[in-house]
Amino acid sequence: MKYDLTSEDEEIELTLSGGLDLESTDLFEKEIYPVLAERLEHYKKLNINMHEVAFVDSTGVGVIIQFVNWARIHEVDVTIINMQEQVYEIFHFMQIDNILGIDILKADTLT
Amino acid sequence: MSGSLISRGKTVEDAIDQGLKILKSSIENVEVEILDNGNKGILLLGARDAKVRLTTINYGEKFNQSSISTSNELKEEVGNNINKTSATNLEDLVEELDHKGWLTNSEVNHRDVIAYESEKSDQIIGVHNGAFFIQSDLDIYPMIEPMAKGVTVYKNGEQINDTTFVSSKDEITFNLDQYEESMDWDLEVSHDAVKVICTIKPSIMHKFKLLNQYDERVLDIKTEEEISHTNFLEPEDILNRLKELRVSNGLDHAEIVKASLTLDESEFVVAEGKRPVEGENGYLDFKIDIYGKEGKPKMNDDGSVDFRETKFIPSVNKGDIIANIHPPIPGIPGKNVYGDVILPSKAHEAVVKAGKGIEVVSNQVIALESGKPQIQTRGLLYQIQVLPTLVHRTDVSIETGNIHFTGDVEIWGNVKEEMTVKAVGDVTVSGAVDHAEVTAGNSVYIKKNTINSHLSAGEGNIVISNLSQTLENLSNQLKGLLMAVRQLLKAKAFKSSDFATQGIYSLLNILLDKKFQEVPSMINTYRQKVNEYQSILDQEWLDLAEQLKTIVRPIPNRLITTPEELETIIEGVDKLYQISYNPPEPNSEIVIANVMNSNIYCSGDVSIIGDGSYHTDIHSGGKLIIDKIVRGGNIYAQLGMYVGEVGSKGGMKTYLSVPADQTISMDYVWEDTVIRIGNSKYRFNQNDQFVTAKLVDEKIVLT
Repeated sequence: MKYDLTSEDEEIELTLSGGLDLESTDLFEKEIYPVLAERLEHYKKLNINMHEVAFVDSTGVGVIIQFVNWARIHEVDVTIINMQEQVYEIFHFMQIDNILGIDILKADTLT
Repeated sequence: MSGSLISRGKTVEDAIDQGLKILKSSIENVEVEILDNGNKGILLLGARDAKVRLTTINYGEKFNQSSISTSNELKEEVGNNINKTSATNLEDLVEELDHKGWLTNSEVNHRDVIAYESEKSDQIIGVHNGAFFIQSDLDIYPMIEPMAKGVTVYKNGEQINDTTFVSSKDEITFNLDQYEESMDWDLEVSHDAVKVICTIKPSIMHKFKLLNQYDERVLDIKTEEEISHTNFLEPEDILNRLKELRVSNGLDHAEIVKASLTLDESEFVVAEGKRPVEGENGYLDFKIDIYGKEGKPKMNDDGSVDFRETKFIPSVNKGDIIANIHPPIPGIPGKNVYGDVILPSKAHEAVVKAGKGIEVVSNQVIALESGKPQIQTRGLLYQIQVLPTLVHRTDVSIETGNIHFTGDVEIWGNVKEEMTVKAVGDVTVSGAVDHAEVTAGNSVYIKKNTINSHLSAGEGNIVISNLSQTLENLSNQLKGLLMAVRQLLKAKAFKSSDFATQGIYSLLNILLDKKFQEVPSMINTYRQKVNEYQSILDQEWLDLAEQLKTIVRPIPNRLITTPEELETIIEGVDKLYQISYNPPEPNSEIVIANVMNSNIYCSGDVSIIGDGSYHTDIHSGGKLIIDKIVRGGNIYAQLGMYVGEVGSKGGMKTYLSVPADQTISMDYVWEDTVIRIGNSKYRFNQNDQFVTAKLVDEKIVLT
């Protein structure tokens, strides 16, 4: 899995691509967390763009939940955007929106 | 014929012509007064008839039949005008028809009035074979009442709705209604897919026809409705639809043909599969009398209770066959209409839990020791053990010590202060129990008084049945959880790559976090209860608690890696639920003479057959029978109660309670006694006799 960070004004966007699975744990822990830890205080809003994520497994979902909760501790407003429909199904089925707060999944921005 | 009339028509000419026809007169014999020139309007909007008054000029000449021909001649003379008028009328008529739109589903009959030669001269107007006739040359106006159902009558192209006069010169046309209720049919596969039912409603054609009517001055038109049924269905149509529905098994061609021919609204079973024949569960066929003799202990004159004649106590010798185990008889699979096999529900095996002194050899239960067989059944689970009996010939006191025994205990003396007697089977005390504790896995019998003591029988049964609700909920929730896991595994974008290393734990964790958030607390409840009573519960209850723990907490080397492992746990939950749901048979019981300042706890029936119960709390999981007196205490019985006398003169508080579906019978009740049935409470304000209380619509009713 790969990631990319772009920012504009007070918004920062984390674009993930590939599969969100056990391997992603490493990527998050070794790269994404350290990089964001330095920069996050400058932003108010974080979008997780999952347009390029084709599949997830349960660890991957866990990673996202953990990540969103972490970002919120840093007082950043998090939204998951552009989910592929089949991935959205899984998130929806697991009631991620209820775990993370109803606004987390932007269903209307499905691609 | 003479006089004056007002005539209407589309145009002035038309109105005059109509009037002349009625008067059977000619233009030169009448005076014409135009009352209204009329207005054609546009497409019937704002149309208004022309209106003229015709008055015959009396030349002293009587009109006769010949005048009609005169009129006819004159009509021709008038010539152009009249033709023009009728042409306009036809145009109007067509316009009207289009406007009303009834051409689409009605058949229009444009029939000229035919001459009907009648033998009788008073037949003026009528209907003959579907056509009107109007006798010419009569001195009266025949009338038409066009209000019959299914027909619209037109006089010279104009619809008439009320009684209207006509003459033989009028063109009477009519229009008969007809409509069709279209055919409807459908195939429905029963929800168990064992039957296909074809429902048919044939097409129904409603046609109206005019009835023949003669001899009428006023023709009240009568119609008759003809109904005809048509079935357009061909057997092929049904077969094709069955094919679309993938129905391939059990087609009934005779019924299909019948369905295609029927003219009635009906149903046909056009395909029928075979339901499975259910099998029979296995069972045990006992070779010994397991329940013993029924009977009630008697009270002796000295106030003690005689148990000698109450029970025949079964006994077995070493090597005796206690029971034969019969295997389940499997059911016969059926086949649904799609050709799929329907399996009968599984016939379960009788499970023998061989306890002490019991061995199961092939399909027989053998006693390894001599003694009293103790058999408890819960559904298909048979718990069998042969218990030895300990006979204690003196008092249980400081000198002898407490008694703990795996078997039955018979105490010939008393149980003295601060002593404890515990037995897996029955405890029988010939003397009294004073300031002591008696606990039995099965039943307790005490022949003399019980004072300041605690009696408990079958407490494990009560714990187990209390777990029933928890297990049922847990089973349902876990099944939902399993289904969710399986559903996720089927999702295209879901990868199960991490199961090998981590098990489905992280998946469960997410699901348990919200979707099944009740599961962890249920598991906790179960584990707490099992821990609390682990001394009286069997190992399998403790094992399940350990297994359930793996769902909520990852334990190294014991990870749940596949949904199948979760399924195994659910099977365990279901098995114990079955055990907890079925009350054991036979249940424990406590039979004692008198009791005072004590606590009694029993999973089955409680009988107090001596003087009664004073200041004692009783919990009975079965029926409670107190022949004589209850004074004070909280008394509860799961399956209803009977007491001889309750309460006391001094208003000592006595509470009796049963569940909502049970009754309380009392021969004598003192005031201030409180009874509770389900959630409703009732306090007796005065003494009462022979009362039975039950709950009707959430209220306690006394009878």
